[in-house]
Amino acid sequence: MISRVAGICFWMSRYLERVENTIRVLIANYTHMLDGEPVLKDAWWSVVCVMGVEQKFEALYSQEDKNQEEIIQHFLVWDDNNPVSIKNSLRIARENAKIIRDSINNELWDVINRLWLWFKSNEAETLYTRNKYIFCATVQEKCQSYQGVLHNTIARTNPFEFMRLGFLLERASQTTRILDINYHCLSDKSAIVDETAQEVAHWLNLLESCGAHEIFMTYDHAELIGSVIAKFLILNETFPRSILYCFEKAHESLLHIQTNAHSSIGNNTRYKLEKMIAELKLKPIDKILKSELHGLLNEILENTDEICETLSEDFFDPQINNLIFDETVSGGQQ
Amino acid sequence: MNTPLTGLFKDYQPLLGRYDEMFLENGQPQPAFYTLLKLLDKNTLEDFQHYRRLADTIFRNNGTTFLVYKHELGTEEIFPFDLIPRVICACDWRQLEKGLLQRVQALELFLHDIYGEQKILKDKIIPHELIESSAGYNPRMCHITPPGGIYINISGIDLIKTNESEYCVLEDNLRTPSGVSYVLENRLTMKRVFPAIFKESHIRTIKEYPLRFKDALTSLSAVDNPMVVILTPGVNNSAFFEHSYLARKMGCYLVQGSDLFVHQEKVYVKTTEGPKRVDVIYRRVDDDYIDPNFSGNHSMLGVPDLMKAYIAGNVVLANGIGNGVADDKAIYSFVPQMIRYYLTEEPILPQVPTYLGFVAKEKDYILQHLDKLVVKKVDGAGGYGMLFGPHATQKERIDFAEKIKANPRDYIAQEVVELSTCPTWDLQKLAPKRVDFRPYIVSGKYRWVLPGGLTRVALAENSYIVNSSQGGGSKDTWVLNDEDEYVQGEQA
Repeated sequence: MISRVAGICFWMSRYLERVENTIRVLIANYTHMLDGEPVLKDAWWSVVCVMGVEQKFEALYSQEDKNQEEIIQHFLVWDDNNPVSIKNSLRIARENAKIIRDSINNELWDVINRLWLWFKSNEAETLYTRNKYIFCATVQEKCQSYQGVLHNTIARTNPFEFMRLGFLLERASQTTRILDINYHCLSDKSAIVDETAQEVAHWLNLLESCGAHEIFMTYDHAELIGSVIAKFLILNETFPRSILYCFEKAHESLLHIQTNAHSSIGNNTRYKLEKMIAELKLKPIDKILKSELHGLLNEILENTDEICETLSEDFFDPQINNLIFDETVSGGQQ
Repeated sequence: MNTPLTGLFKDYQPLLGRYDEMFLENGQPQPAFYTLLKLLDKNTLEDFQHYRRLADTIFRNNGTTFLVYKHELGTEEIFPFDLIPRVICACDWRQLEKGLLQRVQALELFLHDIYGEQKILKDKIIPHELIESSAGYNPRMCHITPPGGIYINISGIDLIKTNESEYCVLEDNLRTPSGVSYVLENRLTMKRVFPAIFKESHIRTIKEYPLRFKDALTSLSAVDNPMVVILTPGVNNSAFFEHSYLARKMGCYLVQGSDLFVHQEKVYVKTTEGPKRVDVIYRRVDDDYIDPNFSGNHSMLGVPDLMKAYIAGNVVLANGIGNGVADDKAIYSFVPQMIRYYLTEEPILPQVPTYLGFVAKEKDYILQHLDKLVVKKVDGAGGYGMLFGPHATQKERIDFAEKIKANPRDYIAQEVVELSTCPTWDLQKLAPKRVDFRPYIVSGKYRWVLPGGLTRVALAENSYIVNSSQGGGSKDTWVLNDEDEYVQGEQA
């Protein structure tokens, strides 16, 4: 497929995944805030941190606004000045979908276009004012129809694989950030073993944000302890939102892309990903200290960013002088 | 004998003295369309309102939009669509089809001649100064046969109907005629809104257009299973929807200039599997922007050295480079002579008498009659850069006169031609609105006319301007089938 289009597939999917993640965190927080327990410090502010837009917020709002949940929620959902607000992410995803309509099918375009048109409608605005939970649940449902259409109607050729890479790498980053910020919120302790009622509620909220609450409870040794949860979210190989799972599936996609093309393009990305997976599997997460966990999560984030950059060099924006010429390749369509 | 129309068309009254395509002057339906009108008439005005909303939703969900530059940022808008179809009977269509094929054939021969031996100039049929001063004439293309051998792969000829019997050519579009995606989408919408009418009428299908067009492009390449791509200026182009639409329906890559590069006079597209050779480019980028190294402008829309590959015969460009000389509005006035000269036939389709700023006497006539004439720029499009004399203010006419005096070659003028009307939705009722028509002609190994086309309608009260950028809308165009209509293509 066309290099530029591969990049757009990747980013379109990333933006939609980002929307779904933001929504998950918002929903978990709404529910969490309704319990009678005293809330951990900066519960809403931490959501701004998960999205990595603290500086943007600080530039636009006052110090007191950091405690104003209405303002933070508005910033995350509607603000045009927030580059990763749901509105901006949806707008860009839809614009990308429009550019590559010839590479996706009509159903996929339709589901993205409808989501955007609905989001801009009076109906959505009214719903947001009336009941934020139902508003978020509606957006989430629409994001999931995107995933459904993607998985059930798109051929397993390169456009699909690049879209899959997009949402997997975005999801891995988001799970990493959610975990990191939640640790950050807790009172300082030398080890991540802590189980006050308040903290249990906090852990449940974290699992909820990753859509992992019920699944987690079905696993053996599923104690609501920070270290156990961290291990689950980082290393579980069956839960679709765990970090390792995302990386392994991303690896699978890369292999498909290379097999489809009978080509070695993408080796740089693949080696980096393989190295990261191998290293991650060796980490003794359950014995790790809280202070060390932050370092590990940071490392995962940096590696993910680097993989995205290599992906771009390998596939999306190849330099002409590096291109391998194969005079026998001619004709044939996408 | 026919029962009167009592539903949708109950109060419809054509404009006094104007030819209406569906109704006679006395308000009775045209007999040829009675059955069809009767089917539409079953709807009440309320039903119709409901259908209009349905159609709007279909267009918006489909993203069938074009960009309008009202503010700095383009906003996406739906091309206003009118649900009352424009209908052409089989016998009118046969005549029209012949006329279009004849005209495009003559224009094609003209381009070969102009960029070849220039016999038509040597025989003094067309003054050579007129050709040399045409902005669309590209002397660097002389003695270069376009790879594939055809200049006009796709054309759109704008027509108007002045009376019952005649379609009349208003202008030729031989560079990058747009609008065909609306034709196809309009039809799809009509089928969803009025399925029952389609079942009972015999309306010719237009579905095959993308395949016909792709076949035509493929037939131009010497390569087996050639790689065909569509080159778009990008998502901010007002016709991006169409570029993307055609790529999808034709099953070819939609590329931007930056996706292509030229290596040893061959064109390649950058793909995730490495570079792939490109054989045919349906380009929606103008001549001047297609190769910065050729035209010397620094546009990012084109592909450096693309013209080298073209001149070397390694890539087919559709349409060819230099076609602008043939759809120059001043050269338009010589098309009837071209038809007689190249084909030794009489033109089948008449055209509008035209005054050229290029000819001193005619220029004077134009300047003296600005209040009665329509003045157009010879390379203008989209309704821009024109003066509609009878509706213009004194100041506009004075300003325009200055422009004409400064560059007389750039302007032509025509008498105001009355356009036919069609019943069209107007606020709460049906009213007669003026329409024009753009059929599409595809040329590859064969030449073929799409049985249908873009009917544009001037929605504003008493307006003659049908351009989408100026408040025009569109209608579906139904060409009726009859029993003995099987001949679908003629040898080019």
